[in-house]
Amino acid sequence: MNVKESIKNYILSELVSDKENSSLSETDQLIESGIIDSLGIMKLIGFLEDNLSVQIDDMELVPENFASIAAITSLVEKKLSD
Amino acid sequence: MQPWQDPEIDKIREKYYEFATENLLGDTEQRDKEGDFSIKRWKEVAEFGFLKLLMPENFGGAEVPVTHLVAAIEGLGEGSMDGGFNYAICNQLCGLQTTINIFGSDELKSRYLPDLMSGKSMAAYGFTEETSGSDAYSMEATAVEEGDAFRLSGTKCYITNAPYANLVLVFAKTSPTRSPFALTAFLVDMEWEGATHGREYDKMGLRTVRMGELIFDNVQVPKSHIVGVKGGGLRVLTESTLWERAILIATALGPMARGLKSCIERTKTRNQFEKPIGAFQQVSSKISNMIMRYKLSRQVIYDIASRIGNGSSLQPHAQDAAIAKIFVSDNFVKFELDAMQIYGVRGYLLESFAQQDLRDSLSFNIWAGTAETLRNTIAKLAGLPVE
Repeated sequence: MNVKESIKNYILSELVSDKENSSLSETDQLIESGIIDSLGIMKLIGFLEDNLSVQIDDMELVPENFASIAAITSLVEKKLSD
Repeated sequence: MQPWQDPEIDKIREKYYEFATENLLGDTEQRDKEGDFSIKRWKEVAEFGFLKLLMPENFGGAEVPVTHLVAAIEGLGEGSMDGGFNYAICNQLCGLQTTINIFGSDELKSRYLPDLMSGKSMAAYGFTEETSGSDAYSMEATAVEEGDAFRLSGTKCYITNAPYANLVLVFAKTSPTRSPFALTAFLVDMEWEGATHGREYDKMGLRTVRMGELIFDNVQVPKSHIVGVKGGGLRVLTESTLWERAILIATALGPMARGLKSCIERTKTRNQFEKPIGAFQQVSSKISNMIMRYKLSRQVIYDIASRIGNGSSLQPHAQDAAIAKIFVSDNFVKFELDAMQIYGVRGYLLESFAQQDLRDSLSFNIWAGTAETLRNTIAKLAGLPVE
């Protein structure tokens, strides 16, 4: 499973309680639309650090990096390639 | 060997117990009645090194393992009877200094940590508002960016240490939305123009520390005083409350250890119907419950403390921290109710330790997340669709 699929699967299985969002696209706005709330963002950071072996720095904790699955994937892939 | 069986833990606990019995007893009952706080004692405990314990060595701290801090908190609480004071000084170390250590810039750490460790400065945690507590995003305090600074406005309520704190970790909204990135944490000097101390609250427990309001009216806060990053307040808030839930909760252990010794002694020496009251199973079963509550609480706290690195994130332990907070708080209250019963009418007198510890214990199910909120957190972290 690639990075994007891992992130999408985690969000769908652990953070989305509304079944209507089961077809989440990679550009859907996760924060603006309320799909991920405050506890969800902390869980997601924990998942990225524990399962994808990246360390999310404080400076990277900005809305742009967590706006969508595509944005999160881009952040993780950039960190993995550094 | 389990962390709570480590002989080093006993040595540290004993060291703080002796310090507390020699220096911190005497006027607690009077100050509890009057709702008074002792700055003199704060400085004495700071001089003894307590506020250095978790702090980094390169900023003058002792940088001890978290389990050693728990041992010190135990000794302090068992040797003194000053629940409010102990809560406040442990809160400064666990909730404030640790947060500055994890998220603050080197400039903030070098400027503020030495004075906090020495007792010269005192800090408060400016989060709660009249309409915002567990629902952080209903917060009304705002910080508007203007050049190299933010203009901070808002009123913070029910703040421990507020009447005399000169430094405050203030949370404010830097975005009007309910986004997880809407909050920012700032370190604010109460000497700055527009920052004032508001009303004080009289409360039923933890009376030896004072609680009050803090008012910020267009306070100009330099960007260098952001703790973490703009929009990163949630992470700062989460981390600091996790430290409180997992470690500050150890302030329950001292009163339980002290109360247990006292209650055991009473059940062996007070006679009724020509027998010690401990011979009656209704009484002895209370003592058994108290022993279980104390020992299990201790194990829960040392277990989580042994898994935390000094200065590291507690986020991976978020569920365990919530469990520890609920478990220990609930058992502390039940323990103190039993202690009251064992002392009978004497426990009901205002001169009794039992009523004071009972009143103090009731706050534990409220601060750093109510028991109800924390149960929601545990369920949400288990993946349940809790609102």
